[in-house]
Amino acid sequence: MKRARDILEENPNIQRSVSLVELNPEPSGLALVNPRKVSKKTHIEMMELESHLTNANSHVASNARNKLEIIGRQMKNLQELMTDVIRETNLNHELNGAACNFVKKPGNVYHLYERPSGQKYFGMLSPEEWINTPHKFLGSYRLEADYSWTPAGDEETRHEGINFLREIVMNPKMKSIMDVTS
Amino acid sequence: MSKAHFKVADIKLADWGRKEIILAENEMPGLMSLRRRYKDNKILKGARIAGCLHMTVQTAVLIETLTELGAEVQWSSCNIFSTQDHAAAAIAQTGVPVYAWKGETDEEYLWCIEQTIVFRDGQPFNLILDDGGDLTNLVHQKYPQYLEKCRGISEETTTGVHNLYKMFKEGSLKVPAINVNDSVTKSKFDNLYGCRESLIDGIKRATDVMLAGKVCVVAGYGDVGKGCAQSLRAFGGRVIITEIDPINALQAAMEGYEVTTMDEASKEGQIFVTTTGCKDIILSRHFLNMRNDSIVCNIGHFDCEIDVAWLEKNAKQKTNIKPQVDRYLLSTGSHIIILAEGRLVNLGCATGHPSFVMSNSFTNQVLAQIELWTRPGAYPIGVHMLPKQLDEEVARLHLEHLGVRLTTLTPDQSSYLGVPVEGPFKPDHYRY
Repeated sequence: MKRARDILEENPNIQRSVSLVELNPEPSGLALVNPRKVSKKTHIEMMELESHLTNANSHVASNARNKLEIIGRQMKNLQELMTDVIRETNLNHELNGAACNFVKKPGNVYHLYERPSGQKYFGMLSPEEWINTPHKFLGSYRLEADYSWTPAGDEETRHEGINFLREIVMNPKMKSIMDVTS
Repeated sequence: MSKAHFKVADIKLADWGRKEIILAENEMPGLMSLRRRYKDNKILKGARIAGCLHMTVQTAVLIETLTELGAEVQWSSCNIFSTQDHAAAAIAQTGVPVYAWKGETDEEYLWCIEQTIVFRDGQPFNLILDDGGDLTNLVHQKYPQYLEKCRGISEETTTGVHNLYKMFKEGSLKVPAINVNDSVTKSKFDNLYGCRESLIDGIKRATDVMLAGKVCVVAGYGDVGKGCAQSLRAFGGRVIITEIDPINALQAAMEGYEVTTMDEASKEGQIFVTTTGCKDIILSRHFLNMRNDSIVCNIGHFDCEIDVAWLEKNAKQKTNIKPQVDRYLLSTGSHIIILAEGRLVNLGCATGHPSFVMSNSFTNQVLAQIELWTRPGAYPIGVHMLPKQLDEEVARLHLEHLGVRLTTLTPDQSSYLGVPVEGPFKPDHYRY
């Protein structure tokens, strides 16, 4: 994989040495007496210009790197979220398809068990309600209004995004940052 | 750990359940008049009743009658699919421990029954109200110690009554039991008048078929068959009966029905109803005889009257029209429509018996519970019927709601007949 620096270095748009404005021995139609004398320069001026250019290039490059770093991280997060979506979808399909004798209602918690035959089924009773659980307990899940399932105990993390946004809006530190930058 | 005070599918359904209970109360005059009669002296005070019977709206009226008479009650359903969740929620909301929801697993079903055995104060039940015998068997096998203080069992249905007689014969029955099923006001009314309405209800909800003019075949002419035949005919159907018993066959013929065998009737019929309580009534050869899109259903016993298994195996195609309605394509090119998978069509495709009919059988239940509770020792261990006079009382309690005005024997008539003015009016062997 190419790194940000390589991309920058291969970029033909990048000016690597100082280029000066083209000379014109007859500016505005008036011939200069001695154009060479007029355009004579020392190495000091060139060094100053060079140094400025290098500085500018490196700032632009690091700025780009910083931005790419953030985008890269976001992409990584998005990819993780994508994997989450695939995993959740598979789980939802599995749970909606599990054997069950009753009509499941959104908002209620049901309990998944596995019979000795390997059949997975939803029951109404939690392991706490059974004195002796008759079959292997696999987990408790809440059915959501969109027919997705939330494992019991994860009810809060389900709304991670909303909670996060709410926090940002309410957070005084965030407010002070926004005030400074504007 | 203290047990949960109830377990239902959704307690939020309680308000809806309450509305339907209030409607049902008006159609259950027997229970309501028992409330009026016994609520002040709390005749069941001290009784702790473990009940196991379909947790429906009608049963809710039964439960609230028992509590109003002073009993403490805990309830479970006797079928994993029959609970009406709104009825269960309404009962739970009143503080009665109820453990029932539509769609239990078999393990959950037993768990629910077990929750009803010990009451909140740690005391076990002292009366049982059962339907089908599972609660009775559970306590006999697993909690026999609790039967010592149990004053008896009242049993709702044929299956449970068979079980009780079997236990009694084996010597394993430990308490007196009252057979509510065979009260005239229970089985005669349930089977005849209940099915007379709920059969048509089931067929209509499932298929919306026009009955007028159709050839309808009713297998069996017992109480259920009589009701079914009568309502099919009332809609304008031409009814054919099949029977094995010459008496019932003759009854059917005298009512004007054609009576023949299923082998013959299967060529004619368009709607088939089995009511026999026996097995193997409609078989492969009958299906093959049938006209296209014949409707076949069962309102008799469980699911063994119609050979649905053969259809499942041999049909070229099965199309599910909607829940409880399946259309099979046979090799002959004709179709068969099966309702409720060959199980009870009035339960599968309709809502079973109306409240009024259930009021009859539940009034028997309450009277049986009062008998067992208030007259300990009067019934030895064994299976008993309710006395004829109580059976008559059940009927009497339902008359006013229908505007019936009963004639009373004069003392002179009474002595002429040798029948008391207040009953019982008939000997036990009278068949009604």
